[in-house]
Amino acid sequence: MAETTYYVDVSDALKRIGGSMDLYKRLLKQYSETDHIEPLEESLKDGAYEDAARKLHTLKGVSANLSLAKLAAATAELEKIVHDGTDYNESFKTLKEIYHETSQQISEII
Amino acid sequence: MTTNDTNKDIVLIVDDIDINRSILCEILRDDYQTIEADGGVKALDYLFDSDGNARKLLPTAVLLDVMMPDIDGFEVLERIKSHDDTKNIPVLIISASDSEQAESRGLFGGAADYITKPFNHDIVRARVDNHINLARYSHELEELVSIKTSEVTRTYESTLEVLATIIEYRNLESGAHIRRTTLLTEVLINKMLKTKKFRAALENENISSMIKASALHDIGKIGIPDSILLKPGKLTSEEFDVIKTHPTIGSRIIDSISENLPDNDLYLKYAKEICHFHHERWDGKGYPDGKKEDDIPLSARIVSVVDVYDALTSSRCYKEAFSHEVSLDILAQERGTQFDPNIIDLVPSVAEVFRKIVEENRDM
Repeated sequence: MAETTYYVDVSDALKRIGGSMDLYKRLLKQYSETDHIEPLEESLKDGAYEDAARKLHTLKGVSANLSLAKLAAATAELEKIVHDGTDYNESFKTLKEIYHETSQQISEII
Repeated sequence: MTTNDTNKDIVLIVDDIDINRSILCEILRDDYQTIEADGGVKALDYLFDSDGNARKLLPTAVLLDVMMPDIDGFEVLERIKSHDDTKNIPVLIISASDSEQAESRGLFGGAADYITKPFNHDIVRARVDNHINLARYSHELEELVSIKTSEVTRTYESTLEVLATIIEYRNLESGAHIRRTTLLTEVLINKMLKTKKFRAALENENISSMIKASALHDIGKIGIPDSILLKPGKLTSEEFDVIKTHPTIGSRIIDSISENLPDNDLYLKYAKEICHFHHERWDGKGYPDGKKEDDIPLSARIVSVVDVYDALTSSRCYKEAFSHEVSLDILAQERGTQFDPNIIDLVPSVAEVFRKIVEENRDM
């Protein structure tokens, strides 16, 4: 994860979606309308790991698509941990921090 | 974000996450009309009506997410690939799961391609373009093949019809017998289709091929010398033995044509049956094989009735024509001996049409 520098990799995103900053902003706005962490935390707390894995899978896809690079990497890591059934607490804590920092940066962009 | 341009191909985008759909719509909007479905249920609803029939306006390609809460992508893929009207639509699986297992499950399930998130603008567009072009190209090829095949079929069928007519001219007849045989066979088969007894047997047959094939029943007569075929008056038993070879000669002619054509050609299958067996009798006393009852192919049993009726009502070099009524009586007398009794039972109900056909298609 250390080599992944950006929370929001704007230039990478623009390359992939065709260069329109307007569109990117629209997509980021769409993304930030949903709280992705709380439902995930609930599932983990309830021991509903299959549910949690599915939510992580979704978040992984979305964050990767929006070039939220750190979040995508952290999500992939946690998805693997939940899938393997090993202790996820540390990894979830990291994910939460990255998620909030990402949201912070997004709100500055849009 | 659905664009409305009816000239563009439709791409159906199936993903439960709206951001993913938005990105794909954006990537494709210049070249395609995009339609979004937020899950498997919606996607299937867009493709099929409630009876499971494919809808009229179908997408040209489908982009399909795998992991969806209602019906997953693999199930949607299976439905698309198992319906004749949708199975040729290219389906591109889009997924964040980079596992080989999911990829191979998709591809073996009939998916055209597999695209992993994050999407790359140019790659997604190029892949969609490629698969749409490929599907269109193969569809065009299929159409071309079917057009060419039906051209070839028409050509050899009309060649055979001409052959049958030439042979009839040689018998000093005018081609009217062949025309009447075809018309009478058609009337009789249509009647049979309305009966419980024969509907089941005929339903799985290609009726129009069977009717066309009836025209070929006597092509074997080309192998019979003029001195016998055109002899006025009674034939000796040796001469009659020669006449009796015409069914076998006919079926051999059909065999030689079949050699160069696919085995499943029903027209030729019926033509062979009819040539070979149209002089067999229900009681087993016919020729060439002495087959009886249901062992005689149905097509030949039908044509044997029609052929005899037409022969009776026509004048030939060796006999005068019988009247319609007398001819019907003779058919009835041979019920269960020469002819299939169940077919003879239907003749009275088509007798009037038979009479008209003979009247309107007299030898010229």
